[in-house]
Amino acid sequence: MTETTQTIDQTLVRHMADLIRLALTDAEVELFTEQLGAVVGYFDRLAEVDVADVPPYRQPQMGRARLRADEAQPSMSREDFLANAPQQQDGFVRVPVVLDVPEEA
Amino acid sequence: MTLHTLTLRQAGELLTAGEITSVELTEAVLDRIRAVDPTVKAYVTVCEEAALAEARAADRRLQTGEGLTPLTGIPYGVKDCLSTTGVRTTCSSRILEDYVPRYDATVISRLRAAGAVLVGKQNMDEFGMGSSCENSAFYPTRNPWDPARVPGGSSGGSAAAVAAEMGLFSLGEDTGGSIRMPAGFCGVTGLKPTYGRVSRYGLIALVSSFDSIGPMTHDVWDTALVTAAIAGHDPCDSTSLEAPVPDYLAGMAQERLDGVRLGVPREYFADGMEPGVRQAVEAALAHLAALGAEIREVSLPHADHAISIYYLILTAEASSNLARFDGVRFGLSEPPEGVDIIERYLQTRGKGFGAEVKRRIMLGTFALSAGYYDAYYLRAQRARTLLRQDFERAFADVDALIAPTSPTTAFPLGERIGDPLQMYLSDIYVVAANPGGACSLAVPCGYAEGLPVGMQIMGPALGEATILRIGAAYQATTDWHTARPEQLPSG
Amino acid sequence: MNQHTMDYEVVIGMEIHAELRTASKMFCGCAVVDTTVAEPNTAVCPVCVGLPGAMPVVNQRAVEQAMMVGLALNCDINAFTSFARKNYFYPDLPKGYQISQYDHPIATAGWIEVQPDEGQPARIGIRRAHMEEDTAKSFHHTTGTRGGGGYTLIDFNRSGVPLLEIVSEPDMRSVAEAYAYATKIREILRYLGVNTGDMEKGVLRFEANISIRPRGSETLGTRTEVKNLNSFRALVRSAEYEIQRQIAVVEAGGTVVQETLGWDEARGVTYSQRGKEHAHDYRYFPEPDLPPLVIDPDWVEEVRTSLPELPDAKHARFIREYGLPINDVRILVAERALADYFEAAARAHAGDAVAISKWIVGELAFLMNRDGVDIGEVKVTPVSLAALVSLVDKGTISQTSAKDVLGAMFATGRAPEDIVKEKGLVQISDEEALSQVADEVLAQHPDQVAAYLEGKENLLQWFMGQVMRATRGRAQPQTVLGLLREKLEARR
Repeated sequence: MTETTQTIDQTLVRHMADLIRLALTDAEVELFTEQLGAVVGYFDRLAEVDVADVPPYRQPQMGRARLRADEAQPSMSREDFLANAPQQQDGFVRVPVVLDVPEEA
Repeated sequence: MTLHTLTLRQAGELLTAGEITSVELTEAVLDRIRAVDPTVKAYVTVCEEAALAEARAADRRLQTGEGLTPLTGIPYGVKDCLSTTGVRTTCSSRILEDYVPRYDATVISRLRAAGAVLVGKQNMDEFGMGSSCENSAFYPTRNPWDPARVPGGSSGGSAAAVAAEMGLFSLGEDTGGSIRMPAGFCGVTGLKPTYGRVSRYGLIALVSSFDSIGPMTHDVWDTALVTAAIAGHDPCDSTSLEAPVPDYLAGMAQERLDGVRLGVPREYFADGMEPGVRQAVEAALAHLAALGAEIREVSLPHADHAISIYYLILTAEASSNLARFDGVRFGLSEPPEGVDIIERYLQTRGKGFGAEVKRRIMLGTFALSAGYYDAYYLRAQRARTLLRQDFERAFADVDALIAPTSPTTAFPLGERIGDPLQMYLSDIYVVAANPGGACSLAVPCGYAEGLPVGMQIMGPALGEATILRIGAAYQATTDWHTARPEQLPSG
Repeated sequence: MNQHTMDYEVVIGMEIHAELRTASKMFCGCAVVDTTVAEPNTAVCPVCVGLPGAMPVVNQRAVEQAMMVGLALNCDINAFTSFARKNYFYPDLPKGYQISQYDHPIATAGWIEVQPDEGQPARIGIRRAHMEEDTAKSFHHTTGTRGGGGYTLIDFNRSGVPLLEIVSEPDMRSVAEAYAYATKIREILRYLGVNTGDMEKGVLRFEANISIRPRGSETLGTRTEVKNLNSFRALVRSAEYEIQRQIAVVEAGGTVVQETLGWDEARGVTYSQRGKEHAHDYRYFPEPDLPPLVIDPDWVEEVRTSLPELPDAKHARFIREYGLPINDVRILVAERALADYFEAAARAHAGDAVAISKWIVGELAFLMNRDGVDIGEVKVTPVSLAALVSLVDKGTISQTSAKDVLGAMFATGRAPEDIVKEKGLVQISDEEALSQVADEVLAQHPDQVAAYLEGKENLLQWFMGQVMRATRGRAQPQTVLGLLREKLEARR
């Protein structure tokens, strides 16, 4: 496994902000680039740890008994659900126009 | 009226005996909040009317004597990351500033069923991201021992509320020290139970793999009472443990620790502790030895990497958990008109999240990205296995580990907020327990320059009974936990 | 097909998303409803709309249905299976991630055999089948301009419905094979009762991954992914179009770009879907809210023994047991309910099952199509169909009459015997009575008798016709034929 000490630059920061839908000002991009660079530099110390042949942690497994029986339960009322919605129309949640297409069917 | 100074156990006895009513007790707490919270700022929302209604219902129960529990009629507050029906739940973030949930977290349901009285929602670092409560979008909470200092975080409001007697207990939440570290700074007792011991259903998730809800109280006995009420399997939480809940009160009367083996991790006692903190913790160790415990040195070789392990997993999971805050179904939604959905996302999240939240979710996105996943997130999960093995090996030799809650006492407001990495490093002693699979109890163990010092008693998974017993014996023979800050107006 | 296509081989793989027919959703107890008729947002809860603090709990029946499909597709069922988060932003995805499976899907390494309409049977590999949750439904009202007053409405009833994604190997080499594969998968899902196959309700969705390469090449060409195909027609038309498009690109000296495409049914073209270049970084990681699930061998065996007889096995058995012609078998087996109907009728009928089959795939099918009636709603019971066929076998009624009777049974659900009696359709088989009629007919047409005796043997049919007219179609044809022949020969 190759180790990468990543230099965090502004392009990467803008890319990450875009991926998680965060609008950043130029000042924020500059500040975060510096701060995140320091943090990731610290994380790179983890490269000192020998993890060859060490499995990633996995939670204890569950068996069939921990699954839910397939029975329909009463739902949340539409009124309760839509009471929190910033915009609604005719029983639907309303959002601004979606120009991009979905990533999945 | 000094009813607000009672411990949970004391109040419970008086309520059962009919010497006080829940309404009186709750009014005392509400009065106290009015008196001191303008200074401490522990609360985001106080639900006065609802609390009094619950108190009246509790009094009816106390009169009939039906379905009484040790918590019936007891006023308490919760960290504002727990979902409470009809009561604003904000995670101290602008993005949830006006969010009112329509369902209760399981722990809240259990406390309601027990008859406890919810007084309000407590301030925190935004979405649990911080160690000082300065990352709250609303205001920083002040340490009741010195209002120019931080209470610790992220359960800063919960710790300060107990310390300032604005509630007989709090429910906090600990992901990487968020109960224990502020408990230490504020001189109160706090428990981070084993992950999965307490249901997370209704807890607004920060790190799904680490988040643990736990009580913050004046003493270990109260901690045992609250834990008994909230612990136990929940079918709504697939990660909650099915192991039966033992009787935590069984060990509370012990005053001796003969035969108990306590481990001191050498990595924690090497460097970095302030002299006053070191002195207090070493005195506590001496006291524990005097109670009959055997003290040994142990090693947690990967403790040095715990912060990296912790923050890599934290940021990754948080970046995913916070994706649902998008202005579509609830919460802040900006701007209301005139844009497409992408712009809505960008503006809502850009305006709704504070700087630390943004930093961490970007980091998390980075750690999970194609090309970096193996070197960062996956590597952290592998190193986590090694950390867990460190704890398992240690607990094969000893019953519990002793460590400070923090290298320093409460630092001044503003001192660390400009340097994220410095802030992360204040968690050095508490951060290992969550990825490591341990449970941990924080108890006050002295002072340094007038400020509380906290000590951790760490146990193996499902070792709550052991660490509570050790804590109870310590508190039965010391009185650090009985002190209350004098700065604030009382009565 | 233009002559250039002879130089190219097409490689197709398919991903099929099938909603599972459970009572409740994949990770919560909300009812699974028909989202084309239910009022919007009436089957929702904190979990499936991603409210803060909500947590998923796995539906046991969904896992079982996934196992059923895996076994029916000859897959290995993994000893343990785990869930993963697939992270991306879209308003129909409430949590901002979809709980799916990545490293350890429920089923892997399977195959099915398909028989395309043209060409040889083919074995198509199944790479994996995995469980995930469906997204909400969006209804776009766009004016096509950013910020120009367009909006999208979202119904979360579908959010969280259990979905099984079946991923094939890129083993298909023609559109006909892809069609046959999709047909077979749909048939198997319907057989198992885990999916209705109703494409119009969107419970089954196709995606085709298409590439071309020079014939004889071993390496795969760059593929495009055509998504959101919600009918067989769209599957076929889009695949055919895309193949030609790729060929044209290559022939013109260009290279095929790997991209996601939509299919515009109205204009008959694929089109590139505008998405950011990093759109595919889903940042998969193991779902921390769901521990890995152990699938113990006992459970797999339980599910395996509960499987109904699958199409291929039924097909082989029908040929073996009932001696039916292959085309009849194809039709009967295509729908499990129809096959069951046939067997019930065949068992109720003492005689030849082939006759039963003929009536079902012939007359009954005609009536069902005409009136748009499903085999599940048909008023003719298998037992009464068998009774009708017996009446014909015994000669009680003629074939022609039987068709009328079936029509009446279809409309009213009444027993054939009652209808026959009421309409007076019992055939005359009494030799004496028929003999008399035959004699009369021959007596009335001496010229035709003479012509017959001189060699016009086909007049026999004409004489039959005359007898039938005289008896209003109720004469037993075999008997009449025999009598006429006898009498005519006697006059030589």
